[in-house]
Amino acid sequence: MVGPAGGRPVLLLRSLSFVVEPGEILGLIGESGCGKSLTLLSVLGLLPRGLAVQAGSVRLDGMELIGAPQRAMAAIRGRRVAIIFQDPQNCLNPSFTIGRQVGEALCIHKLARGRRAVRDRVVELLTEVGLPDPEGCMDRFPHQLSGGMQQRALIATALAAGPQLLLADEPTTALDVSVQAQIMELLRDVNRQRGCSIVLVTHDLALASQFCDRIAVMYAGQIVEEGSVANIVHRPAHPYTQGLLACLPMLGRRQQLRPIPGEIPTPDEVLAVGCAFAPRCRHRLQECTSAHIELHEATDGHRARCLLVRHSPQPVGPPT
Amino acid sequence: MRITTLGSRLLSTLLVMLAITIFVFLVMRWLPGDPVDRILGGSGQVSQQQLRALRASYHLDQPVPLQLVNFLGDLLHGDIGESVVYNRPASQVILEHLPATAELAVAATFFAIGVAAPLGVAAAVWRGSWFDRLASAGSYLGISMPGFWLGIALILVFAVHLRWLPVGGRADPGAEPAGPTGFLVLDAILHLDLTALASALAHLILPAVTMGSVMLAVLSRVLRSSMIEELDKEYVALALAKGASRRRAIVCHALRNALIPSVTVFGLELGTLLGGNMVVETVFGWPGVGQLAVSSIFARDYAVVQGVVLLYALTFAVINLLIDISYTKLDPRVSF
Amino acid sequence: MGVRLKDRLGAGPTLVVGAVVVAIFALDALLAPLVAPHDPLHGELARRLLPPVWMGGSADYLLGTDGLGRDVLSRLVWGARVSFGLGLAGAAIAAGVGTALGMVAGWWEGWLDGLLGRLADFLLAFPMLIFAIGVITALGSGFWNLILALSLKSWVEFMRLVRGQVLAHKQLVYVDAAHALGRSGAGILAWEILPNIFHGVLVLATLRVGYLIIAAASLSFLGLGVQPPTPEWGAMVNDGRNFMLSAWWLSTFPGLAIVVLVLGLNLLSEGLHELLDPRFRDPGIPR
Repeated sequence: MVGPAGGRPVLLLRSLSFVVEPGEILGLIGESGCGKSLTLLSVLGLLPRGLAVQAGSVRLDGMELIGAPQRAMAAIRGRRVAIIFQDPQNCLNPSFTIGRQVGEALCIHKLARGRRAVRDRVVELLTEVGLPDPEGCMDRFPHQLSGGMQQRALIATALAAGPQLLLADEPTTALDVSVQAQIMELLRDVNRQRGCSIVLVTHDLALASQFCDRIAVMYAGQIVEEGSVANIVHRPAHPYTQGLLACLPMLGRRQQLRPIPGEIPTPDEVLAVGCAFAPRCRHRLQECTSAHIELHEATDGHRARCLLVRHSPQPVGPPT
Repeated sequence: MRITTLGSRLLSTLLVMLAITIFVFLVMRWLPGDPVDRILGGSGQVSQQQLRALRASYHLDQPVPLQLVNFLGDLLHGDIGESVVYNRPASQVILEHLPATAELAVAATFFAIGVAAPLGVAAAVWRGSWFDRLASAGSYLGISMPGFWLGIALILVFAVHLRWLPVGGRADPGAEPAGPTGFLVLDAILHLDLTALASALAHLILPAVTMGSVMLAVLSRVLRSSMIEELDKEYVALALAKGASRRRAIVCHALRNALIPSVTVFGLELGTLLGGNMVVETVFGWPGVGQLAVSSIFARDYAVVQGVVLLYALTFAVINLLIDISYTKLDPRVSF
Repeated sequence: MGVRLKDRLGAGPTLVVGAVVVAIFALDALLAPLVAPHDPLHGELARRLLPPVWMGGSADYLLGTDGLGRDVLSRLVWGARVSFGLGLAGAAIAAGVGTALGMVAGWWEGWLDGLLGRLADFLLAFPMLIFAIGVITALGSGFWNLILALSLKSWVEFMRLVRGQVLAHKQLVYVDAAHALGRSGAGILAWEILPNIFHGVLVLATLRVGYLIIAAASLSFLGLGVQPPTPEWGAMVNDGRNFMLSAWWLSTFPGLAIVVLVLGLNLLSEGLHELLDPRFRDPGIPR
């Protein structure tokens, strides 16, 4: 649970829990403002000013991260868990060379001694992420690289210390479509070759369905459904997920787009009790707004925060 | 191309210098009364002939444009005329007073930067805290205080009332090392003379603080706002995400970029610092170029005043040039 | 957009404090003949160097008397006219000239802009005091010469500000619209652009008044500004230097007056900036 530290208690994230297995790619889907980025930041203890974790736990291999001392957190950041942000332009320090920034994690975590060793390692990393002319890139400044190259460099930065878990916050949203595909392929390679788990945050359900092993759907600060890609895409259990899928235009087919009626609630407006989606849900029941709803299991590994699932273990079909 | 841009900057600087020189020269010539009168006037014993001869020796009998040409010619030889008060070449007089002013200016700058840097960074990191608000109030006060008043107030408190520090002058009598540099602090160190060092430092404190206070106030505010802007940027968050300590993220990343706009302001404030030099030296009886300038104005000592104004303007122009050059070093996005 | 005026004023104690302080001084300057208990130019030698009333002085002379027996308080009150007047006049002239030249330079550009730019570079090569001293020693000291010297250097800042703003606004759609309606260049400048950039000029001007007050006081302190017996705060501080050990209040109070007034002006400027900041307004749509 994440909310403002002190002051009015408006919760931004509540009722979130998911597990990431080693080597898997988990997609965290949701629209703007649902709190996906905040989720990632709270894992690393990097919440912006004014926000704090009120309750909850984040465990890495059994080790509790919430409330851990700064030093312990600093040792984890970059080394075991790394993050990639959305806009590569802003994430790179304009005054330092690429080489220096990629190698920074190596220096911080003391993984390479001496300038020669660091330099060699950085060249390796830059090659791994597919940057042409890695030696030359090293001495260039961020503004001299294109958006796609910058994002590759950022991925190299994240991978430098060899993390087990990579948190990717909308890594391709700011890039052109063709470059998007390349970056996603790169991430897939990283996952396969290094065995690195990835949490991919995105609003693009289609993208997630192509690259992820499992998907968790977020709405208004809560996880409302999670399961394997196949289950989510073909047998969505939660009405919100169903609505999202219905919104997706499909290539080659002329169809009427069906938007979900209503608007995403702001954190103030979210119902304190009950399902946050209820006001917009056509299958709404009386009980939906009266009590806290847990994640109910629909099939093995596939859960949804919806009373309809509890009533009938078979998922409700997509609205016709 | 780097060389030609640098060259054109130098050229325009030189042109400005020339314009200043001419301006000062002309201004001086418009003064009512001339130096010869002042020196000899009233004695009644000097004949017209002697007066004429004296005037001629200072070229004062020639038409102004001709005087200007002569002056410029002499300037190229490093000769800016004779000081009528000191009876020596004006350049010599000015050079003698220069180390005192230079030492004071350097001390003031170090003080200003040395305090403004941690202050500005801390205010940004702890923005909104009581510290930040106190620093902000202090900086407002700093830019509202005239240098002459601050100097006098400091003297009254620290020298007269508390007697911790001396009232004025550069050093205690007899404690001036006859050193090579003319910078008392350096000379004292070179001579390993602790008494002289203590005396020089004690005398330096109040004037340096007075002279540097405005720069301190302005720099800390600029640094604070630049830092706040940088700290909010994503590369800082990313640095933390790589495992950097807070200090590393603040100093190595944010501060590095926040310095860029601060450097420009620093250059501007240096001009103000130099301008305030005259006032501070007058208040503290500091035997530097500033005090020389003031007394020379009253004495209508043309050559010296010209030289001093030229010196100030030249220093300022050179500093600005250096600042521009350093800007290209600091910010990789800017190239000459 | 459309943040309510009341909200903005509520968030700005700086504006209120600054405005109040400045208003007090302004009133004092205007009403000096009524407020001052004594004649600032006439002193009673028999009652010279009296301390302020709380240090054993006389109730007739609340802040004591100076070396010539003149009442410090009265001289302070009348000094407001001089010091404030110097700053105000200097800033007003600089603002007026600078704005006009800036509009011309920004709108028509070309050789005039280049010339003004060179002139600006030249003037900026001098620290303010140095330049002012040059002008004063040429033309003599005194109230109006001082104002001339100060504004001769200060107009540059206003010109640069206005020029930059005009250049920026020239790009915006509303200027095209005005052209399309048949307005002349000068007309557009005066009626369309100027109201939009005016707040920037006002904020800068307020700031400059304080700066010029200090500059004028510094010059007078050095003996190069306003001449005695005119009461000017900087000159008064200088007079008091002779008595630093025996009558410290003579230098302290005039300086304090400067500090408070300039502080008030700075706060006012900051408050105005917050109030009028165009971030709260609709930006024009760029082409």
